[in-house]
Amino acid sequence: MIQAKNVYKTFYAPHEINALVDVTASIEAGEVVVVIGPSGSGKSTFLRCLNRLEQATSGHIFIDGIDILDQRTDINKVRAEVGMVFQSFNLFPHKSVLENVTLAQKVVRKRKGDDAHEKAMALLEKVGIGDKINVYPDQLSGGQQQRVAIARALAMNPKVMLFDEPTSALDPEMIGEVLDVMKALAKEGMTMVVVTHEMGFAREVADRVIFMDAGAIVEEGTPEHFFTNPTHDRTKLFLSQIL
Amino acid sequence: MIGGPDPHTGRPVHHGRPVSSATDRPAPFSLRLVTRQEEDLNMSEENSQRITGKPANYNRWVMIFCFGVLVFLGLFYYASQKIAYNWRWNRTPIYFAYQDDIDVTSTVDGEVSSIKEDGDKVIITVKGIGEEEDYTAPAGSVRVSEGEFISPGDTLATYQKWKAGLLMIGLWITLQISVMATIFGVILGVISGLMRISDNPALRWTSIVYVELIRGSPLMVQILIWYFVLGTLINDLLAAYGIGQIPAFWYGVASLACFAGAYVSEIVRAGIQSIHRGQTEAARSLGMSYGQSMRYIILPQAMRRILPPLAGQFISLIKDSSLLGIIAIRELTKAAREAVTATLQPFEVYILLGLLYLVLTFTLSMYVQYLERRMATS
Repeated sequence: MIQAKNVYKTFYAPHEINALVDVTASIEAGEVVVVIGPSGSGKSTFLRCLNRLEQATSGHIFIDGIDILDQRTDINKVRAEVGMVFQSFNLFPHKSVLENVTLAQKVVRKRKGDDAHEKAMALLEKVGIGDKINVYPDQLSGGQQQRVAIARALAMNPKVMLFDEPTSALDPEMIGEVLDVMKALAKEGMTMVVVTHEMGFAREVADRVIFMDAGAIVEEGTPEHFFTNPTHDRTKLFLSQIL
Repeated sequence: MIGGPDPHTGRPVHHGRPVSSATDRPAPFSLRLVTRQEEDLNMSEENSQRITGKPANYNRWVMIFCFGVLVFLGLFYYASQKIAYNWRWNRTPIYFAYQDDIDVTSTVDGEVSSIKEDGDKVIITVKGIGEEEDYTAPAGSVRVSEGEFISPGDTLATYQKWKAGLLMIGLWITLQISVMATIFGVILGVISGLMRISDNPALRWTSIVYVELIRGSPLMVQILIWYFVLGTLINDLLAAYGIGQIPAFWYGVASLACFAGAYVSEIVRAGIQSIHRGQTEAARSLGMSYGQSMRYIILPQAMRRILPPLAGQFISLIKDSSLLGIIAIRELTKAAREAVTATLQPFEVYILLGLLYLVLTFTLSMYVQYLERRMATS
């Protein structure tokens, strides 16, 4: 589903940072991959490169066989197939919850109003916001907003979902409700790439864990291997600090 | 940050939109449907009152203010009497509207053959040798009778008709110019503002050059260049191709629109850049194109923020139109100067002139406040 080959990303402003250094990874359809690592390790940058919110400096990234770094690729078509959920939700504050979920369906997928509405209602019910469709995002709690954001991304019928620290901006009591939605999604067989600090989620849901540090993938493996028997010293140090 | 959650707490930030579940509760304060800016102002007012309350002797200070205004007006009047100025406000109404005497005169040499009443009109028919002409006038204004012999130029009827005075004509021209310049100014400004934030250097630099050129030179000079330089070139070119001339009015509109557009460009740019980057990212990650994300996500949000500075810009534009008299456009100020030449009553006319501009600008600022309120609630 996703192949990243020798991806480099260098930021030049305000000063030169090698955010990604020779990252090669592949994610199969139906797989849930959790990316963890200390802050500044490049895991968010890696995720954002996968739908070209960040333009990789060099390397190749294939989404469903399409080279997204090729300038001839219509990136908007690719992005419609790749859902993304952000740390700060980024709901559209001037649109109601329902409009947040229907807008891109109508504009990008060219769905009819009724179809978009039906799809949105089904998804909002699924994430537990079915009773608040006409309120505005700023009247919802953080957890509710994030669930709407997940529904918004799912409304495009994406083949892959990218989660960029979806629970990091939430109050502790709201983290659970968002993780529950994500777990349900994983059970349905959605291909997911999740950058998170929630080790419980990684252990329970991930098919594979990727550990990144200083812009490179240090270690990857199953959760059992990763949490019980890590091979790399850097991984051991990281785990000892957070667990 | 309007809308969106507070990134630190994840809690929603309220900014004046009524909470639906709170409608059955009494409003904590009555100013819920105002913009954030106003709300902040009101809050600070509320706070200062909570801390200090109304100042002691509130009514006395109100009276002192009123007294001050009266003293100023009194001194003004006193000074005008000192230089022996005769106030003649009674001579000003004709510059708003006046009754004009209209004579209906014959163009035919002959005899009044018939005078027929037709409702509140009268049709006078004059018959000459080989020619016959009908004249229409209001009932009761006829000065001739049937059978009377008439020479060309003789008055058949006289009546009075209300006409717009000089200041009203000027006001109408000023209004037309301001509306046209505002429309074109917004279009220019939005295009230039979008060009300014483009990655394409040709677009970006075009916008920068435009904004810097316009902002860096006096409007008066720009008006002169538009009319006497560009106007001459364009009109001569049109004449060479046998096309009609463009009147001064449109060079006036062009100069004001270009001038306002440069400022609007910066307002639009700042407004767009003030929208959090996450909004664009969210829109683009859903597969929207740059244009779609601008149209549906960024511009509607930016619009709320740029409306107040935009209103200020267009109030300026109305006032700046007073310079257009120098290219012989008979707008309000030019009309007022003509009125002064005729009456030699500069005090009254110029004071009225100021009030008329105030009517225009105040109407606009009221309308914008209404728009702001409507946007805040929608």
